[in-house]
Amino acid sequence: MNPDDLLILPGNWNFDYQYFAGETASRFFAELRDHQQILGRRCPSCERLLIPARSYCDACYVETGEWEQVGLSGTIEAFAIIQTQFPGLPEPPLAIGFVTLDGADSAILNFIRGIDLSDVDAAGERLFNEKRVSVEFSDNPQGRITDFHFVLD
Amino acid sequence: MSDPVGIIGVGQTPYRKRNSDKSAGELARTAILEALSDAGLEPDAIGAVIGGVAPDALSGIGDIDKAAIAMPGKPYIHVNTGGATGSSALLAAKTWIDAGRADVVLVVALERMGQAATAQSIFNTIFDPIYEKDFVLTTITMAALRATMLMNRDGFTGEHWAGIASRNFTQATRNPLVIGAKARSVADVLASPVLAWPIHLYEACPISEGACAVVVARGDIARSRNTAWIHGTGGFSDTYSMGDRMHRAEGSLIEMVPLRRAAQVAYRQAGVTDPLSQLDLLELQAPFAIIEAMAYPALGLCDIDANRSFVDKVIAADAPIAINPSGGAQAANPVSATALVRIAEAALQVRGNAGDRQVSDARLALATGQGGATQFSTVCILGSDVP
Amino acid sequence: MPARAATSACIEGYASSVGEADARRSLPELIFGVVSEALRAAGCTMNDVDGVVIAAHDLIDGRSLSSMITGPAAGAYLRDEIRVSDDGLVAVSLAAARIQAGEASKVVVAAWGRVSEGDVERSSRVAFDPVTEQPLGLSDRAVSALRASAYLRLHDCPARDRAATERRRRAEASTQRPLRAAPCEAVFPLRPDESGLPSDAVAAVVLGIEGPHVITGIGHGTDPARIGDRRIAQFDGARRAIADAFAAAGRTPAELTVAELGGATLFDEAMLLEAAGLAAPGTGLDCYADNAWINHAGGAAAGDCYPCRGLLRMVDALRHLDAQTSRRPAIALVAGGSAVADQTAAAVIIEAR
Repeated sequence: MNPDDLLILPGNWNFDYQYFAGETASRFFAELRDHQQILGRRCPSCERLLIPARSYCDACYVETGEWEQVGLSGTIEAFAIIQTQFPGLPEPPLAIGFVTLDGADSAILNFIRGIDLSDVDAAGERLFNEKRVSVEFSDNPQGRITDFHFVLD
Repeated sequence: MSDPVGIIGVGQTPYRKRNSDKSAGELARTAILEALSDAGLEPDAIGAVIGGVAPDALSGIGDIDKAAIAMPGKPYIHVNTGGATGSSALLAAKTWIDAGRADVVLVVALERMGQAATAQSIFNTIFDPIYEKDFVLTTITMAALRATMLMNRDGFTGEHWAGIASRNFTQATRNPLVIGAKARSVADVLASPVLAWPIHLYEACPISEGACAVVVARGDIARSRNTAWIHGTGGFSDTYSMGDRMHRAEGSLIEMVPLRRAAQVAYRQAGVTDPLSQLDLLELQAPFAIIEAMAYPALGLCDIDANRSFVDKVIAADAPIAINPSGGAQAANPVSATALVRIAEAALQVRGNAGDRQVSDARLALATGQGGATQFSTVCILGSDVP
Repeated sequence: MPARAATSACIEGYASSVGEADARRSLPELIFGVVSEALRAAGCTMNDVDGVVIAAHDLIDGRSLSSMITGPAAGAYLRDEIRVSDDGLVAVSLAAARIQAGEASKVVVAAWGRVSEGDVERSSRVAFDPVTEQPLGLSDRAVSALRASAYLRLHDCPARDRAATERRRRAEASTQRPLRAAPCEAVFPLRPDESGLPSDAVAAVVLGIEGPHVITGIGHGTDPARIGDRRIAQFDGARRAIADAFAAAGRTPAELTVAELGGATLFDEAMLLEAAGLAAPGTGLDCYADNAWINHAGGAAAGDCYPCRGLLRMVDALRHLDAQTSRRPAIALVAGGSAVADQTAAAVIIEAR
């Protein structure tokens, strides 16, 4: 058959969703926005303080209990430096990292800002050697995870 | 239940970026007919079909398996465990036979991602929309996060990742199913653009379409054939949250706890106590080099503190076990099918049907499956002998 | 081939939640709540569970690999978990197979769908063939309408109004409140009061090797994919699934005391009745209206969301079995279909010990 007759139909997926965050996550974001606090909840069984706050511990399969604040400094567990523009996602270069904030038993993900990313290997070296970060809050909080980010100490 | 189960037929399409001239059903059918022919069976011998496709968004068609794989008149279920789909489907087939539901089950996994314009932005939607959507989480950045943890813990360097990738890509040139396979040196890999540091373009698996079909049968049917016998299987899932896996007692994010547990269960079933000497080859589902590196200690091939030196041996072609003779998931990664492809390749090996990529004297092979952000893991051990 | 019983799977506990949007709970929290309740009903904890089988659909959940985030909410943490992108009854079948195969002795099965988070009907459109079906506006509701139109051509339906009224009455009685929201928009010739009530739904059962209800038969059937290739006024796949389930259980339709047919609309439910051999062709609506033991809680009219539907019907059946006091052995049939527009079907026979 004539290759020009091979039919390739264009298509587009455009689905809208609204994701219900639930009371626990909503309170986490409200505290972040209104009081510049980062809160977790402690599992009564394994006693881990889990952040971001969630209403149950999936390891122990029980509801979490006490709300507790975590410190605003922490340690980088893992990071990545994004060079490429992925369609529909924020513009590079960007650094993201999982940070265990002081007092928490789980790490939380956010952007690591204020680093010169023009020399990626140098930036990577720096992020390996300098593991302590502090939380910096946005001037214009929205009640979203991006109301804070990390900066190297 | 006491009757062993084995793979009696394998079919695969070539894996390439795009199949503009074939419908999804045609791709599946190519693999299915080859598998049935290999098994010496007609379609009416099939008792049930298990399909594997994940995620729908890559093909742009919802439930594409229903039109492309399901066979009217035959019981059918659709398994979806992300990247582990192909192997989860095979494990479900074994369950089906062991439960007495059928004597022969056809497992088909199909990848149609050549229809996607932007695979990585689709992969972004697998992450938590409430806490993590705003970050550039994709399968590539997810691998990069682990890479930095490994480099920190073990002293791995970018050369290690490039070395693993180079070995896999070069190995793939002996696999005629990997269309466009090209040997790549370490220097080639390191010179390629950085996607998400430290992952380079040439370490990331290419977009691949294709289909893989496997015929699984109960012992009394399999005994008369050249069979890859299932000696052991295991499957475990983990918590979603990467942040929760940093410091826990069960093992950190980079220790691949579900893979370790799946391997332990499979080894116990297979009577494997010394994997390095008892296994002849591995087919690892590791679309990124770092996942391969993490798999070695999780599979009990080395201790965690000997991880880097084991990888050094692998890169120097000095490992006491054949690894990814097919080129692995790095060379071709048809997402829905890839875990089944690893099993199919392991089956070809222990049946002596692996052509140019045949490992000599291969009698016991281990295939892994990985889904999600190293969240779902499967292990399948296949052998030439009846268990 | 019909399932041969090895170790039979039993139902040790069940729970469900069907309702309107509740912004207090995220989807994983909703799942955690219902699965926890099923475990309590089973008198066990997650520590006793060997594995989890989930029925969930990525497009409905709005996450391209839904079980990454939702799986742990159903107990997948460091457990053997597998997900089917099919109706909840398929997950029951696979979980039962694990028990029959001796791989597990306690398995959680969970299914869910939350209409408040996404547009389920719109998502259904992309499952139809992009070249021959999507351009013509096919969707799950459109197919239900096509089916009804084919049925209405073949049969006068004098019981049509009566069946719809009775179904609504049962739904209101079971939910113990008037049905607040209007059922979903109907595609002609279906009428709004013949539709299902799109809801946020989660259901879970705990399967084990002991328990008051035994699954004695399981069957599966598959229709052709393209709608035009199917016998549209029949449910051939469901017919086969139900027949195989009866055969495996060694039972006949006449012995049933409970039937729960998982269809999206009244007509789907009535046609499934006929496929089950419970009503002669053309009498499904009459049979529905006249027999309160069939879809006794109002079926989809009381709340519905694919892929939870079949598991909701199963929980309805279990509640009904628990409530039955007659001396006849209590035997239930539960059947329902999966994508695309019930192309595949599953059926189970459950008996009270």
